[in-house]
Amino acid sequence: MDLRLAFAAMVPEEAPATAAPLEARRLHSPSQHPLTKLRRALLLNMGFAVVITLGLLAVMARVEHLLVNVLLGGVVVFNAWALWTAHRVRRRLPAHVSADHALLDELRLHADATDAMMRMQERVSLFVLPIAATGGFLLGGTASSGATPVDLLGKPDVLISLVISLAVLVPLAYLLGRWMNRVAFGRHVQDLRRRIAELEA
Amino acid sequence: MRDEQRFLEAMGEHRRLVLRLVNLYVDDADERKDLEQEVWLQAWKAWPTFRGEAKLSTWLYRVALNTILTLKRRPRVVERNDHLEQLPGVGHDPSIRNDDAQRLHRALRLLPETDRALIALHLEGYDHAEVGGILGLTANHVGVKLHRIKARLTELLKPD
Repeated sequence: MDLRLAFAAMVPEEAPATAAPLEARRLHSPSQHPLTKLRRALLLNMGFAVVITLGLLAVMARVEHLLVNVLLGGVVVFNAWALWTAHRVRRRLPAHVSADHALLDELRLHADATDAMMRMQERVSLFVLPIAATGGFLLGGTASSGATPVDLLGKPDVLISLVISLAVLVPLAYLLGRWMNRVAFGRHVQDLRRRIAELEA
Repeated sequence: MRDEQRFLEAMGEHRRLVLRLVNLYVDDADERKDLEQEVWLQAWKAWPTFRGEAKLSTWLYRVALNTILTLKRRPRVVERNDHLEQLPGVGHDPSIRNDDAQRLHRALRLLPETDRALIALHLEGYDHAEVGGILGLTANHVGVKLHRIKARLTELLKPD
């Protein structure tokens, strides 16, 4: 068998003429490439972070308890940090597949960028979740009972409830986020790393 | 608009190249359409970076391979076996009418993904240095890998 001839015959000569011709509208449809999806997801995250931060600022303006405001302020600061980190990661992500990079470099770039995005989200959630959970707990407690946060925290049963909530909710939310990241991108990163190893072998 | 038209015309001339490559990675007709679409989209986005230093076909090969191999694809179980005849359904493409091409296609589908890229470039007529430039390997490394891939292909294509 002549491999070159057989290879050329894998797509019949008449294929381009009979198949749907390239259309201009196709060039403007949304890309399904993970890079585009990552960039879109990061932009969405940043949008949510801005909306949540504005919401928190509005709540802070209404709440008079210092402790709640300090905790909510902490969330705002971490949100701003998360926003900046997401922006940095997004800026590092190329907008499209490169025609200048060799395949091996491109595979490494995609695997590293996806890893960086997952690590960033997990790290941010680890810092934000405890503060957000405590802020939410105290806000809910003060709003429903009318007591001040200091009064609330002075009650042993409330304090124990807060500790239990944190001990359960924070790792649970963190692990859930981690799992969702793995489901969404874990296999993809594994595939990219496998292809890198194959090429280098 | 004129640039878009120029791009579409240039790409139309190289459509078979992309189709051949796409067919090496997916069997399902709908998936093929999506993958081909994605390759053209990425080529269009990268089009402003085409400076004409390389041949258009080489540039397109680079974009196509970089797109196909960095995309998320549905997991597929591909059995490894020494003879094609023992895997009647694997890689069978009803649109390929030439018997040799059909056998080769099925054999290529049994190779690891990056080996398929390497042998495809070789069969398109690129030399070791050019293949190395597209894949990011040295010419020597390409030679070694090619030797291994050909041995595996011979094994797969050997009549029972």
